[in-house]
Amino acid sequence: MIDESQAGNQPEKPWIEIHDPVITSEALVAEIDRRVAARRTELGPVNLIFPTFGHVSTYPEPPAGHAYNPNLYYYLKQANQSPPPTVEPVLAPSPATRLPFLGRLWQLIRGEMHNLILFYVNQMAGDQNRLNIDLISTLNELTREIQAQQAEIDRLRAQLKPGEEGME
Amino acid sequence: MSQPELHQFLTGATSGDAITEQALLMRQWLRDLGFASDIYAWHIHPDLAAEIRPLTSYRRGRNERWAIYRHSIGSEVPDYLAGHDLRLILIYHNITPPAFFDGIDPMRARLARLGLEQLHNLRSQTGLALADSAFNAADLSRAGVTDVAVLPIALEAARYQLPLNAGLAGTLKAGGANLLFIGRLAPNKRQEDLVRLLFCLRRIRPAAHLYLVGDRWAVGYDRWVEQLADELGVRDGLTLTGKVAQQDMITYLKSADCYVSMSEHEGFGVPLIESMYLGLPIVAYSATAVPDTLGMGGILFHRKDFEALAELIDFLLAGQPLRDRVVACQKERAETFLEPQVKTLFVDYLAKVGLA
Repeated sequence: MIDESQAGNQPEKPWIEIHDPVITSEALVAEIDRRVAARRTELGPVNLIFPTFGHVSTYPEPPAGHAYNPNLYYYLKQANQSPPPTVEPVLAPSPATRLPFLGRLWQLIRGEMHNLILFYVNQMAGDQNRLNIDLISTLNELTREIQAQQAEIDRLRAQLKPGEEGME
Repeated sequence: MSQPELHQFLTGATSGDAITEQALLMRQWLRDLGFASDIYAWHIHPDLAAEIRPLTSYRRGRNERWAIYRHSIGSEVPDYLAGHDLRLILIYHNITPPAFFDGIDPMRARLARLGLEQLHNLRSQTGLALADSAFNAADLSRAGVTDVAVLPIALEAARYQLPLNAGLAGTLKAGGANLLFIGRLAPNKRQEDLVRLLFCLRRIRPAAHLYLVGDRWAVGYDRWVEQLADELGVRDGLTLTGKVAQQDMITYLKSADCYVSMSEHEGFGVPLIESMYLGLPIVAYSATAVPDTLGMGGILFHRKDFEALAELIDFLLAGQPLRDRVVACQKERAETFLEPQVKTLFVDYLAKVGLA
């Protein structure tokens, strides 16, 4: 078993791994670091702020110790907790499929129809679900922005207060 | 004495699909060993109607005791086999975790969950469990399947002897640094990260181009990848080819400059062994089965630092001796996946359960 206290003292492995007789992983990492630094000097830093596919913004809890609009948080929470649509691929059994000869044909036709319908339903459910997630994530992010702006307003108000009191 | 029977069962059969191709190859091995052997599937692509039989047409032979089942997603097939009182040789190709499809492709997420449940139910019927990588073997062990052995995907050398598509090869050679990734467009493959890498690489090599070869598979993900390339201003450096014929795939593998994988879930990674075999240097994110498949070959990375990875690729492409050493090491690794070795391993496993 690994002794965690000792494991914590072990040097971190290089993030690039190569098995090469000439250049080691450590040397390769050092070379890449050198090149990145040189490139930044030449071209400037890379500003990498990209969205992530499938990102879901989480529900922002109401701000503690502040008055807030209960309806906003109630309905936002409801939207966040609504389950995504599911597409059930199971074809329910039918007694008619047990008939000799015709039963097998009927089962085949039912199966094909079922798969065709599932194909389109799944596409629509997927698209709708994606839109739901995007909208809910946007609302969550907007609510977070409102919280941040409210906190900033409160901070600025607190700064102004001593001056206003002095003027009075 | 009647001919022994050993048939294979799959959920879906499509030409060019790794599981189907392996089933066709294994059918030949079994026939060479004297078995009557066919492949039965639930969904069959019309191109394969002459090769694969519909599941419902299967009739169990009088002396038939064993069947081979390839598990990769939930379907009706395990329940169907349970009704036939057969011992199973379970070949596990891995199930992509449902979380990758939640909210994007509800049916695929549901089928992935069903597949994981069925894996537990298959335990009692399984007489021999084979996984195509150590990663998949660990997955099987976690599901409670005991005595799991590894049978890697076999590389059929003859499939790679086709002449190149001259027109396509010419286009590829005329371009700048060509990055290649082969795999269906799916969130677990993280093609979006390759677009981010392309953005960084184009600062160094403005003519760099990314070829994404594979089916536009997951709902909406392909559109998202294209939109991201648009937003980053690298759309002209991105080609989504869709599914391609074997000849074109070989042309891409032989003409590209570097195979790059950002995939976060691979049960094996067939294009990795194809790249190793055909001499295309690999730079790959170290996730799931990727390190197992590469062995000592290729260059692995553990962190997605796109700026640094662009430098790494530039360094690799500019340094011929390093590139040659990486390719030589990969070729050595690819040898272990060639058909004769894998076939011998398979026959040994069959012997262990008294079938060869």
